[in-house]
Amino acid sequence: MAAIRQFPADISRAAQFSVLGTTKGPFGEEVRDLAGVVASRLLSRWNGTVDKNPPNLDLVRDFDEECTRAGLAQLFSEASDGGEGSESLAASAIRGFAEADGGIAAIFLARLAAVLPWVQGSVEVPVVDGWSTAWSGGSRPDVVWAWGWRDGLPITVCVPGEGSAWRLQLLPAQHLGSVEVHQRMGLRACPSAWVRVHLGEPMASIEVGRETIARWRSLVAGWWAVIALARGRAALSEAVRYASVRYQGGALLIEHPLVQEMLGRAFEAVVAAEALLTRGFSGDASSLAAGTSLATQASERAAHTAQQVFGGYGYMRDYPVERCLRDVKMAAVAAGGSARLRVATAHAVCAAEGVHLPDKGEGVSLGSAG
Amino acid sequence: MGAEGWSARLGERLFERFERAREGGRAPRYSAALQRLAEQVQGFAREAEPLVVAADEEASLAQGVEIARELLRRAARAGWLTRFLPGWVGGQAGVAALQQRGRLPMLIFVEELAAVSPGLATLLGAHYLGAMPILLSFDFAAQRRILRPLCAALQAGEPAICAFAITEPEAGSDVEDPVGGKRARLGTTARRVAGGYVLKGRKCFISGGNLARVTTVFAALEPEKSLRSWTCFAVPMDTPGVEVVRVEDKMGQRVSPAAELYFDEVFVPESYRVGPEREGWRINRATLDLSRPFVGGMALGAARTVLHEGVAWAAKNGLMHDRFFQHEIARLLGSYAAARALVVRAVEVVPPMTELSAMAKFVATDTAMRIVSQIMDWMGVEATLRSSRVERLYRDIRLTQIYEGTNEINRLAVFEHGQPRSWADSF
Ligand SMILES: Cc1cc2nc3c(=O)[nH]c(=O)nc-3n(C[C@H](O)[C@H](O)[C@H](O)COP(=O)(O)OP(=O)(O)OC[C@H]3O[C@@H](n4cnc5c(N)ncnc54)[C@H](O)[C@@H]3O)c2cc1C
Repeated sequence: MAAIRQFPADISRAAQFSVLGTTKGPFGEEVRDLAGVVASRLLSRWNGTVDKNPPNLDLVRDFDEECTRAGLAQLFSEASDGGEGSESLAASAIRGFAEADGGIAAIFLARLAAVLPWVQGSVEVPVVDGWSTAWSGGSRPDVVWAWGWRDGLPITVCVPGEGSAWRLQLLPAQHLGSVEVHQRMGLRACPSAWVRVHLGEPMASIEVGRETIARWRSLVAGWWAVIALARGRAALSEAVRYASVRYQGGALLIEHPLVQEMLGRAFEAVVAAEALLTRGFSGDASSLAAGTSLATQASERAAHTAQQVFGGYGYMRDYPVERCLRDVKMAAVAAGGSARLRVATAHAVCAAEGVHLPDKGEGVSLGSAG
Repeated sequence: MGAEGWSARLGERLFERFERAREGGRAPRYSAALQRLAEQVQGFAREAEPLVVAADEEASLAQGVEIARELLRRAARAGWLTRFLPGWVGGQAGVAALQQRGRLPMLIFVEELAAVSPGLATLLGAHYLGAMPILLSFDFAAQRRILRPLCAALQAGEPAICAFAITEPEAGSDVEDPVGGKRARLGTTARRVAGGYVLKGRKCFISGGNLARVTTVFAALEPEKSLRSWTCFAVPMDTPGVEVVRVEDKMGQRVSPAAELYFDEVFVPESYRVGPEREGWRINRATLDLSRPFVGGMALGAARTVLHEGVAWAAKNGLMHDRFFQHEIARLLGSYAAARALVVRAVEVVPPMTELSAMAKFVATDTAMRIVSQIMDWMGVEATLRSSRVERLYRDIRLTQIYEGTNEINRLAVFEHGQPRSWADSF
């Protein structure tokens, strides 16, 4: 199974390091900025089509090309190799994308998660268009939910393996059957689809233990939480701006203690979740789990509060906050949803105490598919 | 046989009957008549559902408006737009329309509509909201003058609805809250002229405003006196100067259009003034007190469907016997039941109480939002697909926390009359 990992020829090792030189420390600023630049370029090009159903499939292709050009494609392999700082580096990039657009960040997340098992398992897999794979996870073995789907990319699926292990298979695009592109509530720049897969004759295959799968799952959930958090924070910033110009009850909204309390309560949870996640991505498993859970709750509250502060205008699509709420909720659900995430926190915290709870064996589901 | 044996046998028999009754399942929710009403509304709503879905996100605003019009036609033909108006204006309700016996059916009506689509409930409910100031003015001559022709048209199957217009671009919460509203910047004014009034100004977010035949518009006679000079007018929407400026592109409830209206020197005859001059606030207050519990009912109707969807999903995925799942759903069911009891109570109290109505509104809508959010978490990404009812209801329910006064303003309304009245005996 020793296919060659190819890097696009025009990116030299040196260029990679100019990106990866910032890997140290959580939420590396440069990577975040670079992702932001790529995202804004995409947004200006595809203005008006990022929040549409069905999703804009040209945008994804463009995303892949832009990322390769910017050297962010390499980040995939580096960021997911499990080396020191790599997980927070990945989070930085996701955050940079998400600050511009949650859906674009979700494409990146899907790409990142797709190479995660192969890179961490030291299995070299071929790349397509200078890229790696789209990813899937799903409730049925033959039909998978593929995040970041686009035509022509292979798909990673997770199926029960020997004993309690799982088997990951990289299926070539030509082994994929009917595709039904989703119309979703949020993060619409990132297409997803039901894809019928024919198992067997994979391009690569790897057996993975439950613990590893659980670790990946919590990492990916954390990445979704980063998206939720960035969008929640963006919503709050909009709300603060709006509350500073809107009069009601004889004062600016921001002057009402009631509004201040709403915003303060939302902000404190967001700030706490950010801090916790930062710690989590530097390798502390219980902070990662707790941070993920807190982040999804905090960002839902943030987006909800922001919409509430906008009053009736917040319900209108020509104001930005209703979309923030849809995007945040989408990311929070993809991360696993509140009840499951709290259980995951319990698992992580118990493990830190030396008590290992049995994993229910949900496989790798990139975004809980139920 | 001794007295003891006799009483023991009676006891056994009663116990058995009691147990059998308990096993027999749930108590009926309503009387037979109300049950029949619920079923009729369900039938109407089920048939409307495909149109509701068609009017949702992917439809253009113009398509959405056409669908709304068609639904109103169907509702008019089926009698749903006159059913809760009193007989003397051509409706089918008795004198008790605004009393306890009249309001429970209305609650069932909005709940069952919202169980399929809160947007549908708003579309039809906004018509009653628009008629309410006219009814609550208790000016029977005006009621007949204004509402009779509408009812006749409705019975002929025309979508001749009413709309209710208090909100303005610069005054949203301020027209829902007399404390904050003391310094409201009201932009819609009425000027006295021979034979009537001239209205000028802008109203926004008016549900059904673009479709209405008559809109109850609240305008200030002296803007500097703000709400104290507020007066209500029934404006025929074909009067020259009435303009539909825009229809909003909304997050949800897309089958119910919300419009911005501009009144450019619109003449309204004296006979279309609703209630006395400067009584606008009181009429508005009475209208909101009556309607807010129904918004709570709307949210709960939708939440009920979400709970059903969640449980059906759990059954499909073998989770029904998962005690953790049971526990979490029980939590939601408990809050649903408590909120519904509050809404029913608020609807039963005659006349409606500001604080009770407001509480019913914010408790029920917050509860519904929590329910849909958590069920979505459980169901996972499949519930975020546009093909899932839960996804649509999530967006639809969200509105109920914002309109008819934001939930914050409703919480403040609990203290609107100073000390909340008779806490203990009312709640
Ligand atoms: C889809 C839709 C349909 C509607 N239908 C109708 C209709 O048919 N007829 C109609 O007349 N109106 C209608 N409305 C208007 C609705 O009732 C208002 O949007 C609502 O009352 C809030 O007003 P606003 O939008 O101006 O928000 P704002 O009043 O600007 O409120 C913004 C935020 O500030 C807070 N706030 C405001 N004042 C205070 C204060 N004094 N103290 C503390 N906090 C405060 C609010 O709670 C809110 O969080 C509709 C609205 C929508 C969105």
